[in-house]
Amino acid sequence: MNSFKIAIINFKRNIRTYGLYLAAMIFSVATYYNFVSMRYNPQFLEAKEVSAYIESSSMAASMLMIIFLIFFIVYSSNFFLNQRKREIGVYAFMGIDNYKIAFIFASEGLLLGIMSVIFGLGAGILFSKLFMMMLAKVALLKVALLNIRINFFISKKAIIETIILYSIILGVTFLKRYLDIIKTNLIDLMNSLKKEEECPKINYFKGIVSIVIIGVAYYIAINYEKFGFGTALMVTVLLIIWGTYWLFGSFFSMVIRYYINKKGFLYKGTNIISISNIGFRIKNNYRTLAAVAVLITTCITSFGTVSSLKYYVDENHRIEVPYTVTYISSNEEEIKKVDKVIENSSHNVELKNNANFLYVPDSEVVVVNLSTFKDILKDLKIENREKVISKFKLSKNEAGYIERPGVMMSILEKNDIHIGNQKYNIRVNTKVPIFGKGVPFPCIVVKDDEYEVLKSHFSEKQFNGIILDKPEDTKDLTFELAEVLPAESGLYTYFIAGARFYDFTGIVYFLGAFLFLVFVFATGSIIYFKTLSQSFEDKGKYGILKKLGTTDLEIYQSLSKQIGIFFILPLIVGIIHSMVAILVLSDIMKCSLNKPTIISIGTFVLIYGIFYVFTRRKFIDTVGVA
Amino acid sequence: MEIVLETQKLKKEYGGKGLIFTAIEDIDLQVYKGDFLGVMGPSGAGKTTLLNILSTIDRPSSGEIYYEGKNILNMKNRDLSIFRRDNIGFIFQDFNLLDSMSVEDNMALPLALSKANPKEIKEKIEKLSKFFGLKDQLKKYSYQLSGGQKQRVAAARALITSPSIVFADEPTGALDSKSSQELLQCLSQMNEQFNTTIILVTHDAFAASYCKRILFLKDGKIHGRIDKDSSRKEFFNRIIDFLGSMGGGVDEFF
Repeated sequence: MNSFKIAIINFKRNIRTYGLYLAAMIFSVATYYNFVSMRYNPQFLEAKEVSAYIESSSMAASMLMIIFLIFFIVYSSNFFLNQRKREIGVYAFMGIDNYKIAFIFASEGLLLGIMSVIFGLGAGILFSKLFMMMLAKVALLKVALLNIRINFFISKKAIIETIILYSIILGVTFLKRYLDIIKTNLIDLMNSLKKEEECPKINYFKGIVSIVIIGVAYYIAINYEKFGFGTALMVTVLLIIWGTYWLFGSFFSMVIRYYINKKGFLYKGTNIISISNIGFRIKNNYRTLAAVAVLITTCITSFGTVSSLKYYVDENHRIEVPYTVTYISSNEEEIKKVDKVIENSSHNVELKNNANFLYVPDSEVVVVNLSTFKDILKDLKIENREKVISKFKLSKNEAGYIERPGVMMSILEKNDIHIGNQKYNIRVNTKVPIFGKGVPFPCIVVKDDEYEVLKSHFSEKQFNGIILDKPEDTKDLTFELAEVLPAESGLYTYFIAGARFYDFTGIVYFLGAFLFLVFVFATGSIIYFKTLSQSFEDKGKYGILKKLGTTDLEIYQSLSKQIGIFFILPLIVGIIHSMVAILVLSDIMKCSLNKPTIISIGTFVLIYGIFYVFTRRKFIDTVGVA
Repeated sequence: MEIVLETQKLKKEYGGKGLIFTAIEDIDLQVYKGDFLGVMGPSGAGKTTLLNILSTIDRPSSGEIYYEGKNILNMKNRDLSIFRRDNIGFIFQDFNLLDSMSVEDNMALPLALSKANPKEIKEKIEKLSKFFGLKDQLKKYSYQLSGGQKQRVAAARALITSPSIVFADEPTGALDSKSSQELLQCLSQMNEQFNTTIILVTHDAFAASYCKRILFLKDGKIHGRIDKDSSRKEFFNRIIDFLGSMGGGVDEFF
């Protein structure tokens, strides 16, 4: 039997252990292929408006994946090697030289890699159409790509790129494994499993300091303006990583030690098993736990960022484009022409509105009266309009101020405003949709009789807004309307608004969400592997406990608790870190990000929870509890 | 005298159709309170099978086991676990201490699982650690102990629930001769001072000579019994003689 055959036999035998790793790898290969192939998709390349965005986001997403993949593959490769040390020792004992053993084990890993690339590419190609369709739909490429039927497309270039990348990574890990095994001593291998684990000492200094370090990091992050954004970011990231390592290395051990010494608590049923084991495990696995906490932070923060971006843009979009078509004209003839164009198109009118306003050139604002304002909010079906309107209890010299569409947030709060020679106190300052970006000025709301007074000083204009049933498909309509309307009518349509920023955030959001899934999957796998490697070590322990008369139910409960805490500690730390990060982000973006934050944390917890259930089941299987 | 453990026609078979291997057969025995019973026999005689069945870890194919008059074979798995925890103590050849716990926590484990009062547990640990000479080791972990100390911790753990019976499976197997002697003396003292019932399974005639009576197993059946009626030294010689008469040669037992 040659060594390669042994590798194949081993591989077949261990396929169950590899199951999850294989799944994570296949998913990553499939995702990577699709990330790359979208920049070669001929249909996307044709759509000039978006191809540049697609290219750059595809590049960025695949770069991120590469970094992550290297980390993941190296990590799991180490895991599998530690798992098999004794087996390697047995081979060495039987007189097989280190080079041959190294070859056997390294090629087993290589086989696994090759298999995942093949299956991953298969899956990637199979699902590429779905991926592109989702990209086209979810990513708001509606404007450019609505009418295109996405064709099935296999990108040879993307296949080759994927194969090259994975060959490099797999080649390097093969070499690393090979060299690692050659270096090992027989005696270490034989003893590696027999060795009694020592309960490590606790460093109280590090434990306390870790909290201080994290506190300082939070402080710097929150006060980023004082330190400059770049410096604050760098310092915070480094401090957080440092603090998190010490937190898991010492602080949590301190907490557990406290409970171990509290015998009244410890000697209560299965607590004695759970707490002792957790203390032991945390200390011996703190590097993994800290790494997982950092990964979780990265995951949630980055997904939070992209979904915040999308959330923010969506919010703004409603304010900037409340109507499908808007223009300014009181000319009956022009209005009729517009109506005719729309009638002849394939669109149906859902709402047609017009409103009068005054334009004040000196202050660069427009003025509407309160009744008009209320009508607009009602027609546009603004969700919280009752609440908004209730704030507009204006008296004679008071006015409401509505931000110019497109402004993120006003930096200076205005207290009063001059219109002509009249001065108004600003009673409310808010952001709601009224005219959209077709009237790119702040809007002042005054009482109806005040408006009548002002009317004589300024020219009144008529705003026309139309909502159509298919706002995405307004490219042709826009050009037709532009022909019938004069330039000064300020024609603004969904198409004009949409062809810009929104596509890009859509793509970023979509790819970000996909990356997030890959990362969650990999983070889950890492903690799964780590927990399972303990299950092999713990097998004997639970055998003893059963002999001593611990019931299966008690072992089950204790294990659920132990694995639960092992999972939940990095999760809590990760969530707190990322909440601080998103808090800073929302400060920078000047808007509340509660909703996207909750969504991203919720999604993460859900997937992570599924991993917990699987890990627990597998663990309980391994230690053999009914 | 009060009977703690009684068996009737115990039989254990392994294997399925056509290929049945009988590990033990026709085992009738009575163990009295305060007994110190040794079980000896060559490898493959069924010692471990018997011990596992008596200690409720395994179930017999047929026959009955009574603990203080109660038939334990009617119990469900879960009840059996709890019964085992409260009524049976174990000492294993390889100590089976949990390396994630300190000495005192290892000792406390069975009582803590039975949800005894923590204060009571502490008192018992105090008492037993004194008896086994472990007072200075309580805060240590098992990797910091010698083999003899570990086995004494295991013995203390076995005793903490005040079990009606303690099973010791080759407890001296992994110890050097001095530690063996110390441990056996401890067991002997346990038996005398606390009136603990002990069943000791061993290969070693020297270890067996600490018992009060000995049961010899061969090919799954009881081959003979001898009782101690004189000094330990003489008992030891009788054991050797008996083993010799069993066939298989004396050497096998050293």
